Amino acid sequence: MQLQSIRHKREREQVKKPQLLVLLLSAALSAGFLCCFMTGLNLTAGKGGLLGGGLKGGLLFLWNEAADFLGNTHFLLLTKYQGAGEGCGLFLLIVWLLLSAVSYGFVRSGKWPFLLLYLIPFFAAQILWDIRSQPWAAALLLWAAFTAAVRPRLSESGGILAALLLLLLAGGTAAGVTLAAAGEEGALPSAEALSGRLHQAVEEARFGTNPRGDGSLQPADFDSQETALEIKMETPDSLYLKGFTGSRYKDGHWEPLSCSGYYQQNALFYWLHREGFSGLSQMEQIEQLLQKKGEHGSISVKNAGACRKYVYAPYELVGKTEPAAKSWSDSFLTAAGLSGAAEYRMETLPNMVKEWPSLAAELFTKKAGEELSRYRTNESHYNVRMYEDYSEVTDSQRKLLAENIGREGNQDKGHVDYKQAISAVQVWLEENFIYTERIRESEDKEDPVEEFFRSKKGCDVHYASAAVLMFRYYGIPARYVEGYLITPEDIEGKEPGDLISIPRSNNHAWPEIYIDSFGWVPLEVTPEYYDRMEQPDLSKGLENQGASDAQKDYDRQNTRQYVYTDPESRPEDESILWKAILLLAALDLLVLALAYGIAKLIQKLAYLRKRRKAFGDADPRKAVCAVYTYMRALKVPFTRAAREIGNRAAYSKCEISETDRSRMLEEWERMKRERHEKKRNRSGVGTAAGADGSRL
Amino acid sequence: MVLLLVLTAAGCSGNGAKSAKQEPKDIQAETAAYLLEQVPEPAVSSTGGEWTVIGLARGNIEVPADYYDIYYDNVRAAVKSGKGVLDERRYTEYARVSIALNAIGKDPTDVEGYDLLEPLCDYEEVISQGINGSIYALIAANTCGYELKGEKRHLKRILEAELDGGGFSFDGEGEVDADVTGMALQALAPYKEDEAAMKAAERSIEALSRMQQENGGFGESSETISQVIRGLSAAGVDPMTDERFIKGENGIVSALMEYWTGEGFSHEAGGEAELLATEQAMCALDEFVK
Repeated sequence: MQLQSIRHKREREQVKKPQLLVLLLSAALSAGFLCCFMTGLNLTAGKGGLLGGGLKGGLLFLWNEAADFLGNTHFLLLTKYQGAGEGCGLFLLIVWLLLSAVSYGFVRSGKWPFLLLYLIPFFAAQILWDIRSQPWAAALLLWAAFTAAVRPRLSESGGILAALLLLLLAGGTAAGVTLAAAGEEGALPSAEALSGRLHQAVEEARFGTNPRGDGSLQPADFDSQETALEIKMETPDSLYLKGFTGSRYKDGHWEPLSCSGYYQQNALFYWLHREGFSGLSQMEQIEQLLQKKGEHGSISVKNAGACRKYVYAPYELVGKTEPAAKSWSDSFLTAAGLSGAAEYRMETLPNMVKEWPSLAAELFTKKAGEELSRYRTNESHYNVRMYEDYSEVTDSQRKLLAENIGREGNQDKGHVDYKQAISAVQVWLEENFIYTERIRESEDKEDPVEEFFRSKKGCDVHYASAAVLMFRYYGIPARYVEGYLITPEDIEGKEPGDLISIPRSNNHAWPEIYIDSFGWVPLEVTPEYYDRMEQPDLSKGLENQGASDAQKDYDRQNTRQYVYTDPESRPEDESILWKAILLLAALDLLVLALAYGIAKLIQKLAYLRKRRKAFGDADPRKAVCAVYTYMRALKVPFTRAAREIGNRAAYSKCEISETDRSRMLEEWERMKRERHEKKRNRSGVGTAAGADGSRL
Repeated sequence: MVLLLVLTAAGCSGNGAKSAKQEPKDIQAETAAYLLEQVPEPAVSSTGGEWTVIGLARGNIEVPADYYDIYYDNVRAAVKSGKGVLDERRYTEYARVSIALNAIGKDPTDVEGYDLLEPLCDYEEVISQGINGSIYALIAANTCGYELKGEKRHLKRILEAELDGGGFSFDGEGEVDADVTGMALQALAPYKEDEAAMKAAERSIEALSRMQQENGGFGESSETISQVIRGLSAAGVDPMTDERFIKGENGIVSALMEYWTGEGFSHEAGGEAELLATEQAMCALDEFVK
């Protein structure tokens, strides 16, 4: 009895140890996952310690922090909620406990595919979305996952050693994934560079590309007549359709402002839009203020071969596009959806950019009324932003410009006079450069703009880039734009509603400058394109006095300190919150079910593969033994033939031939059919299977 | 043992192509390949520019589709940004670029609205560069079929610079310079109706023959040999077979081949391939490789 109780006690202890390991791994797995999530999104637990924040308050606190992080890093705009607590300790604790309970089930089952639920989001976040967890959190998650995966296959004695080895493996993987390796000159590309290239490849696969390269200054495919956009216009007119807008020139290419830059301006643009002001449809506002009563016309655009990331909209845009596009601080529009903007509609005014100088003059000299004052107040806020964000000239750029075009002109009134600046830029480019599309990337990777200044040759992307820097040098906010032209030639003879095919060769690059009080206007600075679009008459309207007055207004506004309150958060709404939680829970279940299904499928496929291999073994004896073993699992009575061949293979030294194998396989198929019919009969489907008289 | 074998092979490989007897046409092809590799985009330049373009074009070498167009773009850019001025002082720039444009079928009298041969009509400016200025002004004008103002004055000046006994030098004094004499021959060659010019050319040929060394060369550089070959060819003398230029077993062409490295041509015997030497050699090869 004593021996029995000692044996039972040992058996119980042996049962306890694996259970403890399972509990430990479950806790570590969920803790690691949560810590990766928290550190990757730069979230904190806030105040109040482990029990701080309350359940709902903690959720909202975490949500709002995540919204800020995603807004700053990816310009992903999520609704923030009132009612957030000061911390989320309690919420995290509850989530960890729940997640540990779920993890316990996975770990105990020993089925490793479930661990993909933790690992796939982890790797995807690191590599695809630049969400970098702390190395220690990653190491914890990976160690727990690896150990859980191999746990069922480890012996007791080898377990500790294996766990240590796995810790090392996990640590190394974590370091490699979360930390940047050697820099640009190193043997291994940095994680950031790899991530950048992967992003680019994913974007190209999602959206396609434009010939000008969207800021890359590596254009190609100039003459492609492949259709980029299929357009139908209620009132056919020539227009500049804006796409990519570059704000910063860095490392030989143009890029927009940082996501955090756009996110920080979200409040400003929220209030401006509430006040009826939009940087994307300033022409519309001008037209209303000047009471021009221009006729709106609708445009439908089908993207047939252009990059689908951007929503190409004219400067004369009225209201919003349908479906609504995402506005990046009113500088350009992008589409939602996995594959971007396929089709959209919008309202537009007739071409106004060809007469912007006279319109600007009219606006400058218009007597102030309530509407105009309101517009000017709103515009003054916008104006400050435009100067802050789009006037950057680095020291090296300034030096390059000074060497080539001399001094930066008279900027006593804030910037060089518009007419003088535009004339200086256009004339200088026309007189000193030749247009050619035979541009190869230089072997020594010279900066494209510097090479343009040196070689005195380039195409529109170079002319536009140089012009943007020159305007900024002259104190005028400027941006680099790529988009498509609807030229007068394209619309010639077209009736309302006719299909207008815009080829990829209409892709073009141009600078746009900010005219105080008026808005952004495109300028043509590439001589080869002067005849392609109607050009504004710069001799009318850009009087010094008008510009000077507007500049004085800007100077007055600029001295104020603007403080923007955050836009009103959504009011506390419990139903929205619980709906969100339920939705998340449903999504989780769906993902779990999917993962389970995938795991089962993988398991089944592995089983079938193993069985096929065993049945096809080169040695007929081994094959027959394998079939015999699998037959037992079918739980269908053996036939005499199957039992005889099986026993002979398993227990005798008689020779087993290929004929025996074939016979055994026939029996196997027959027994499977019998089993299947049996199942059908139980469920009441089909006819009952007849008994086989030869069955023992 | 393996290292020894490898080193031996490496040592042999550099001279492998050279030591094996190669046909001039093969050498021309390999020289062209070297130039295309070294000069992916010819610029307006005395090296890596016009002479590469001239050598490849006159040799009818197959080049990348937009190779000459890229050179022409560079000329256009230089001319436009310089407001028609290639160089304030060295007027041979206009001559060299004009010859290159002519070689690729472009009109040097209309480049971004500028006539690149017109500055050569300024006699005083041209001769400020010495005898070279006059020589290249005539070469460019005759190559491009241009009616040069002061043409006769330039011709007269060249003839007056001839040394006693024939031949030419940079400053019109001292010993015969093979380089200058080769260039002068190219300038004089078109004037077949001018007796004085033809006699001066003949005397230059004799002078060159006299100064040719036993190894067939003319001094220490391959560029000089190349220039002489071009001058003789322009004057109607076959540099490969004319007995006046065969000394024992050595001729001019074989002397030039001594500078072939297997990739390109060197400046000095036994040296590494150099771009300028190879460009000049390519132009020389074009004269006798048909």
